[in-house]
Amino acid sequence: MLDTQPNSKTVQISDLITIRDLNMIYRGRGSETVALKNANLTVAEGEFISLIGPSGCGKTTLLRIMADLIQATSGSITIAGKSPRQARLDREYGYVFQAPALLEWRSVLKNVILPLEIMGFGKEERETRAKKLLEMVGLKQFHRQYPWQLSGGMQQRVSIARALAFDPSLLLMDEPFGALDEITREAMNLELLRIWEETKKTIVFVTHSIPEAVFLSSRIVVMTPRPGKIEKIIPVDLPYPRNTDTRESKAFFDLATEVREALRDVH
Amino acid sequence: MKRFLPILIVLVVLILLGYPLALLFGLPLARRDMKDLRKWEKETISLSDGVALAGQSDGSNTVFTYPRAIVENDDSRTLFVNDSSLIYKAERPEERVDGERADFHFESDHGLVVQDGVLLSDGDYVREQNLIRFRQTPPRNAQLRQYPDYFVQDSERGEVVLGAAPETGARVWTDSYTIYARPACGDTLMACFFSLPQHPVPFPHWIAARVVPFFQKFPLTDERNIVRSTLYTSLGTLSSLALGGAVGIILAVLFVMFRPLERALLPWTIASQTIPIIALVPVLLLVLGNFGITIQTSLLPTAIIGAYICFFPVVVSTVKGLRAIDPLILDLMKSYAAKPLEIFWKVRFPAAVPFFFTGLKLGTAAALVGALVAETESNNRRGLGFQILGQVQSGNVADVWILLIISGLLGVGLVAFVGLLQRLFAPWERV
Amino acid sequence: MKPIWTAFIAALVALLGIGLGPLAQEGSSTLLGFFPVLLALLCLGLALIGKLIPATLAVPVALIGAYLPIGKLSALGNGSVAAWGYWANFWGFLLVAFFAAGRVSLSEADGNEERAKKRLRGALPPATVPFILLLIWQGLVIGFQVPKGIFPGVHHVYNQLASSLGVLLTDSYITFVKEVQFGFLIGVSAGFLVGIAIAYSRFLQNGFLPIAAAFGAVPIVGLAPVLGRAFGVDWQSKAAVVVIVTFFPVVLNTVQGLTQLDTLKLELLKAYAANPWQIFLKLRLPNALPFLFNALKLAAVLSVISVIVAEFLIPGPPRGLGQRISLSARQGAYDTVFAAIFVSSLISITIYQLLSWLERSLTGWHPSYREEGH
Repeated sequence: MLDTQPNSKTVQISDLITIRDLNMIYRGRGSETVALKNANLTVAEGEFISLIGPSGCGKTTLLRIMADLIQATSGSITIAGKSPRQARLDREYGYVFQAPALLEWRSVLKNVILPLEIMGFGKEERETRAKKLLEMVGLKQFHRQYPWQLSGGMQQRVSIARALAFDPSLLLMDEPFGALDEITREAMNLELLRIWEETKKTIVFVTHSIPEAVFLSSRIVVMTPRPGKIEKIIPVDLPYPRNTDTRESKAFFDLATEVREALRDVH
Repeated sequence: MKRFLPILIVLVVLILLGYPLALLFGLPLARRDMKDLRKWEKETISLSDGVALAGQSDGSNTVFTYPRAIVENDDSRTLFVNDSSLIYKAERPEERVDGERADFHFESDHGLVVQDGVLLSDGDYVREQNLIRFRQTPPRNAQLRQYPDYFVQDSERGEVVLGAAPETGARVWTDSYTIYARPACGDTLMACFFSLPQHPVPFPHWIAARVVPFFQKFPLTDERNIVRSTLYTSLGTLSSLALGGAVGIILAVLFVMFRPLERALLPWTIASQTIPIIALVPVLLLVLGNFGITIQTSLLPTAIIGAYICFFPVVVSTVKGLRAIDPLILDLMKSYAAKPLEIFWKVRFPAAVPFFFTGLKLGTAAALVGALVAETESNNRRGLGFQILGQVQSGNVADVWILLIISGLLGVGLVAFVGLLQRLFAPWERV
Repeated sequence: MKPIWTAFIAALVALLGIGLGPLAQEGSSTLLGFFPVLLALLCLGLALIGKLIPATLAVPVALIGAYLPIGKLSALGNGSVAAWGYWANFWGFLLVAFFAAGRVSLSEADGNEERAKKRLRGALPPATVPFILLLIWQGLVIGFQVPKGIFPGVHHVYNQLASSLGVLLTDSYITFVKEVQFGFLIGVSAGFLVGIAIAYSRFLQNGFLPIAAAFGAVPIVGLAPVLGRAFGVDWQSKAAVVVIVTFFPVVLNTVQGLTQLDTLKLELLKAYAANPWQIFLKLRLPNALPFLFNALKLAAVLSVISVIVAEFLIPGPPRGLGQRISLSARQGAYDTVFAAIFVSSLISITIYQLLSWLERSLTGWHPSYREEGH
C-alpha cells in the first residue's frame, strides 16, 4: 500500500487528478465482482501516466470512472478539483478509445469538428482549429476523405486530433494503439510523445504493452487482477527527447524488466 | 464492357429459350385446337344414289364403317339397310341413376345399351321388355343411354354398330352424312401452332415485331400512351415510397424513443407481414371513396395503398439503423456531455440513413405491385396496371409481354433510383 | 415503482365519462351503474399502487372497461351515434391499459426475482396489442354506427367466420394445399438446384445473378395473366405464380450462402485434401443453411401474398381464398373479406412458425441464436 501513496516529488506540482480509496463492485445475479479495490492515485499536471496490467485488472474501469462514463461504488475522485461529472460537463478531458470510433458519415475534418460543434464553437474557429490539429497529426491532405478510406493508424490519429480539438487539459487514452501492428504502433508512440511535448497535456494512458508503457510514460501504474488493484507505481526517468535509440538503451530494458517482475509477482 | 458480356450472353440464351418455351406451351394448345370438332370445317355430303358402308353383311356382323372418316355424332343423318331406314336416337332411362338402383326403364324394348359412352355387351344386363336389369349397379350419375337401332361407336373412324345384324348380302348404306374435314387451323400440328390466336409464350421475335406498333398505338395526347402510362405508374410508386418512407421514419423514431411501444409491437411485426394486405385494396378504395378520394381524381389512394405495403421494411430497417450505434460513439458523446437531441441528430439519425434506404429499396418492388394492383381496380385508363389488364382482356399476349418487360424494367429502374438517392444522401458509404 | 400517473388521469377521464357523459347523441342515457364505476375505481386504485402485479391486473380490468360502452351502445340498438361520454369512457380505459402495459414493460427488474415475473414483463405488452386493436376497431365502428357495407365490425367478421368456416376451409385447401404447397415445393427445389449451379460457375454468377435480381422486381401483376394463359385458369397457373416468386429469393440466397465463405475455413479443408463433394457437405451447405431459411421464410410470406393477387387476376373457378376475397369485395361483403384474410393470415403465420422452428432445430449453432441462450 505504501507504494501507492503519492510520492513527495509530484505533490509539489499542482495535482490534476486525486483518487482516494476508490472501489468498484459489479453486482450480478447473486454474485459480486470486485473490479477495483482501494485504489489510490494522484496525477500531477503535465504527467504522462500509464496504467498497465493484464485483462481484468481494472485499468479500463479506472479510466472510465475518471471520465464519468461509469460511477464508482465508493471512494472519492477529483479532477481539477471537481467531481468527474462536473469535469465532464465542463469538458475538462478528451477521451481516446481502443477503436477510432469515428462517425463514418463524417469526413475526417468533420469528425474533428464534431466536439467543437457540440460545445458551441464558432464556425470559423472550428475549421481553423480542426485544420491545425490535422496538420499536427500529419493528415492535412486527407481532411476531405471518409474514415473508411484511411488506414487503421491514420484513423486513430484522427481520433487523437478529435480528442485534442477543444483543447482539454487532460487526455484519457484507453489502449488507443491496441489494434495496430507493432511497426505502426511504434511510429504512433513517437508521434504521441511529440504531441505530448508540444501541447503539454496531462495524459492517462491505458495499455497492456510493457515497452509502450516504458517508452511513453513519466510514471507507470502497475495493476493486478482479482480483485483489480494498484500493485506498484514505477517512475520512469528515461531522458527526453525519447526516440528509437531510447528503446535500445539499458535503462529501458531495466525498467521493462522491473515492470514485468511487478506484473509477475502475483502470478 | 467485360462486366456486361456474361449478362449479355445469358440474356441471349434466355431469349433463345423463349422458342422452346413457346413450343412447350403452344403445342398442347395447337393439338387441342386440332382435335376440337367445333374448330373443324363442316362438310355435308349428299348423294343421290347413296353410298355403301364398309363391312360385310354376312348375317352376323354388326359393325360398319363410313367411307370417309369422322362422322358427326348427331341424329341428322340416316342409315338404311336395304330399303328400311334405321332410327338414331338416344333414350334416357326414366329413373335417376343414384348409384343404388340397378333396374331402369327405357322407351323402346330393343336397342344397344351404352354406359358412359361405352357399348355394353349382352352379358352385362338382362332385358325384360323395356326394363333393363344391370348385373353391376351403375355408379351414381353414370350416363345410361339406349340407342334403338344403331350407335356411333367411334365417330373419328366413322364406325357404327347396328343393333341387329343385317341378313347376308344386305346393303347397308346412307344417302347423306356430315364429315369434318381438315381443322380450321390447318392440316398439320405446326400449322395449327402458327395460327393460334393467342400464344401464352409468343416467339421472341413476334414480341419484338410488336414493339414499334405497340409504342405507336396511342399518341402522346392520349392518356393510354405507353410512355404516359409508365410515368403515371412510376409517379404512383414514387408517391407510395415517399409516403411509406415518411411513415416508416416516424414509426421507427417513435419505436426507438418509446421502448414499450417497440416491445409491444415487435413480436407482431412478423405476423403482420403475413397478412395479405393487398387483399384489402378493394376495401381501402371503397373506404377512401367514401371520403371523396377516388383513384380517378387523385394519386392519393395509390399512394396510401403502396405506402401501406412498403412502409414495413422501412420501419424494421430504420429501427435497426437507429439502434446499431457503436457503443464507443455513445461513450464519446457522453464524454462531450452532449444532449440527447444532439446525440439523435448527430449520431443516430445519420447512422440510420443507409439502413433507411436499404429498407426503402426492399419496399420498392412491393410499392410497385401495390400501385399496379390499385390501377387494375380503378376505372380510369391511366397506368401500366390498367394497360396490362386491358391487353389481357383483349387477348394481345405479345403486348402483355411487352408490358411485363416494361414493368420489370421500371422495377429495376426505381430500385436504381432509390439507390441513387442513397448515394446522394449517404455519400460516405463505400460502394 | 412509482404510481402510474398517466394511467391514473386516464382512469379519471373514464370515470368522468361514466358518471356525467351522455352515451349517445339521442337520448340522455349514461353508462352509470355499479359495474362500470367499480371497474374505473379499480383502475384508479391499481394505477396508484404502481407495483408490478397491480399494474398487470389493471390491463385486463381496463380492457373490460373499454368494452362496456361498446356493449351498452350496441344493446341500445337505436342506431344512434355515440356522444362524448362514450368516447371519454372508451379512450380513457384504453389509455389505462396502454399506460399500465407500458409501465410493466419498462419496470426495472430487481436482482433475483422469479422467472414468472420476468416472463410477464416480456409477454404482457405484446399480448395487450391485439385486444387494444380489436377494441379500437369495434369501438369506432359502433361509436360512429358505420354500416356493415362500408366497414364491418369485429362481431360481423366473427359471425361470418363462424357461419362460413366450412367454405373458408375449402378455399384454404385450394389456396394453400394445392396452389401454395405445390408451387412452393417446386420453386424452392428448383431455386436451390439452380443456386448450386450458379455458385459453382463464375460465368453464371456474373451473367445470371444480375438478371435474377432484376427478375425479382418483375411484378406478379404482369406475370399472373401470362401464366394464366400458359397453365389454364385452374389452380395450376396460381401454383406457377408461386413457383416464380419463390424461385428467385431462393436462388439469390443459396448462391450467397454457398459462396460467402470464410476463406480460412475453405483453405483448412483444402489443406486436408478434402474433395469438392466433402467441401460442399461439410462447409458450403451448413454455411448456406441460415441463408436458405431466410429465403424460405421470405418465400413463404411472398407466396401467400402472390397467390392471392394471382387469384385476383386469373379469374378461374370460384374457389380459393383470393377468389373469395375478390368476389366478396365486389359484392360488398366485407365481413367475408376480413374473415378470409384472417384465415389466410392464421395459416401463413403457422407456416412461418413451422419454418422458424425447423430453422432453430437445424441451425441452432448460428450466432444469431446465441443471445437467446441466457
